[in-house]
Amino acid sequence: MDKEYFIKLITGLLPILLFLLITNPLLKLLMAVIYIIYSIFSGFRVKLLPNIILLFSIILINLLSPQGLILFKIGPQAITKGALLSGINRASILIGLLYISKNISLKSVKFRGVAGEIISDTFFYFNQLTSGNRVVFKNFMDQIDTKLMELTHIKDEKTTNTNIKTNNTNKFFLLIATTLILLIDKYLLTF
Amino acid sequence: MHINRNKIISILGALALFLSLIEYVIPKPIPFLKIGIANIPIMISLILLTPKETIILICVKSVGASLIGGTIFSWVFLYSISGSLSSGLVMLLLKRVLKESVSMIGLGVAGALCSNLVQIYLATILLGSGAKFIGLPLLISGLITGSIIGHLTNKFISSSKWIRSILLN
Repeated sequence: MDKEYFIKLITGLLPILLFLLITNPLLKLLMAVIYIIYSIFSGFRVKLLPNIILLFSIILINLLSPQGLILFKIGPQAITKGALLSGINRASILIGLLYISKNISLKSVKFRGVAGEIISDTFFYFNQLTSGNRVVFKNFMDQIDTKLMELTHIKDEKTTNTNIKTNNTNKFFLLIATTLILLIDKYLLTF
Repeated sequence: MHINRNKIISILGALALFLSLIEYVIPKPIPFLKIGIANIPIMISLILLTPKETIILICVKSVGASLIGGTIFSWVFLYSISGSLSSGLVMLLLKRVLKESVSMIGLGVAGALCSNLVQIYLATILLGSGAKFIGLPLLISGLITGSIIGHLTNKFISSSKWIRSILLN
């Protein structure tokens, strides 16, 4: 395995895998916030309000399915710890994946062989689906169809993210930050 | 324009992961009850891909969805992949035998029931015979969600320009 290939593989794929392995919802939220801040510094235009609305909507929807310890009540609705943490966890995954995808161009991560090509292309197209214009609930299927048409016509060598600062040093920062948070999650919080 | 077959698998795989992500953020009122919108790309693959390519897509979807859901290193992954593979095989078989005589709703219901049956069987092996009591509600939910997914897939296939462009190639 040559060095450049190894670096691309590690910096391209590992942050996503490590992010998904973080179990503590609050740390996952922190990581998502770090990705957003990092995206701003990388030159992406980030609108904070839609992210805040998304975060609170997902938490709100999750609060409707009570689970675990009752924290307090708002009218007939019990606000439970389990539902609150579950909401934070789910919202963090969604927002975190959106912003980590913006920063990592997975087209540069090439696995070997046909299976490898399918895996790396799947991650690349997933990245394209989660970046760009957001899909809204109205006319959901038409928007998905348009996105699929766009994906089919993306040229292999041309990506929407590569011209923005996504060099290896930047990607290493994401890798180190995610690893640190994962280590805190796995070791410091358990003792 | 010629479209690489592997590219279609990857695009459908990415769509399955995207839909898994959307489904993941929606809370489930009952733990095992989920609509399974991530299965729509699998059903689309029945008309676009070969059986072998569909099975590759199912594996990509199962691993990716388990990664997003954080269940890749748990029993849930075993349930997920065995359910997905068995339902995929049943749908492939039905599509091959019945061809145009079976609708996407029929395929969706057959796939969901098969997936649920395999999951109930696995649950009885892992958790003991008590697990069979979840069988009936699980099968009823499979009937409902399978119909919904089949209907959504039908709707998407009939209106999709993307599918038409792939079929014309």
